[in-house]
Amino acid sequence: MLNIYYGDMPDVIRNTDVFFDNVYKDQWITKPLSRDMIRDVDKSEVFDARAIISPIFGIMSPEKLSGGVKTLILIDNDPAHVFNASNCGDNCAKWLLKIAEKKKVVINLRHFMNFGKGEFKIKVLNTGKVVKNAHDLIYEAGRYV
Amino acid sequence: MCHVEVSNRNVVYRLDLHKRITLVRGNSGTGKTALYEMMNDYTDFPTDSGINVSGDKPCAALSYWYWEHQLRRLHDCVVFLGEPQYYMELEELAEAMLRTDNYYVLYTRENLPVFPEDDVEVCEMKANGREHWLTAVSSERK
Repeated sequence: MLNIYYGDMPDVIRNTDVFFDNVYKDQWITKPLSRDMIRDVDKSEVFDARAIISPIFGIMSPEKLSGGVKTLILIDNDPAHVFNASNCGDNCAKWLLKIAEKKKVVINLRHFMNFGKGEFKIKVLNTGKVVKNAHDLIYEAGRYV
Repeated sequence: MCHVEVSNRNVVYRLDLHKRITLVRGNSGTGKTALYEMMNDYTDFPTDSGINVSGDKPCAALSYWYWEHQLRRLHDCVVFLGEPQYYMELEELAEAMLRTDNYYVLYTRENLPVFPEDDVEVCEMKANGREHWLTAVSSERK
């Protein structure tokens, strides 16, 4: 399940862009889920762990991925840290829910991300309450951001 | 209004800034970080970077560590900031920004109540191939 702490949170990795560049592992890039996220968000194809084919930049290294995709890959692969997911646009919201389908995921949000109109399951760590739709999420978390 | 264009071999950014503070939001993968990184390189090496910058005003990127020193020297410019949450003295920074005559482009999805609403426009970065531009979202900051 996706667990979100809204607002200031201690010991969060805020600059996910720089953190990713210095810690990512090759196998993170070639995982099927990473390939899908890179294709959807950055419109790019993973050729191998060190080469991604972008329609804008041509063949590029993973360091050139968007801040949003870097953050998603970190959240999926590095459970030892909590990451600032406000580096992700709304087009990353469905992927956050996907990553958290089969494991506990904790993220920090400093803005109100749009998780869509459908049903979902998110625990707001500020209050401990689990919410199942956007309306309840706004009610529960709106005051913290 | 202020118009600036930033380009290299891969991308072109054509930006119309209507207010002194432009908050840039929007989906991931639209080139926000790439623009800030280009402006960082251009600020460090204006000619040697190979980055083309043109428009109504000179442009520069603000450094996390030396912003106070930089702001004392930048006048009537367009100044690009990365995620302002990283600046430890955010209110101090905002006050210093408002004392200048510069335009500012900030990348953030957070609300920044330190800026007067009348001075702020919220925009999204849009992209089509190598072309990038800003579109206004609303006058609200949320």
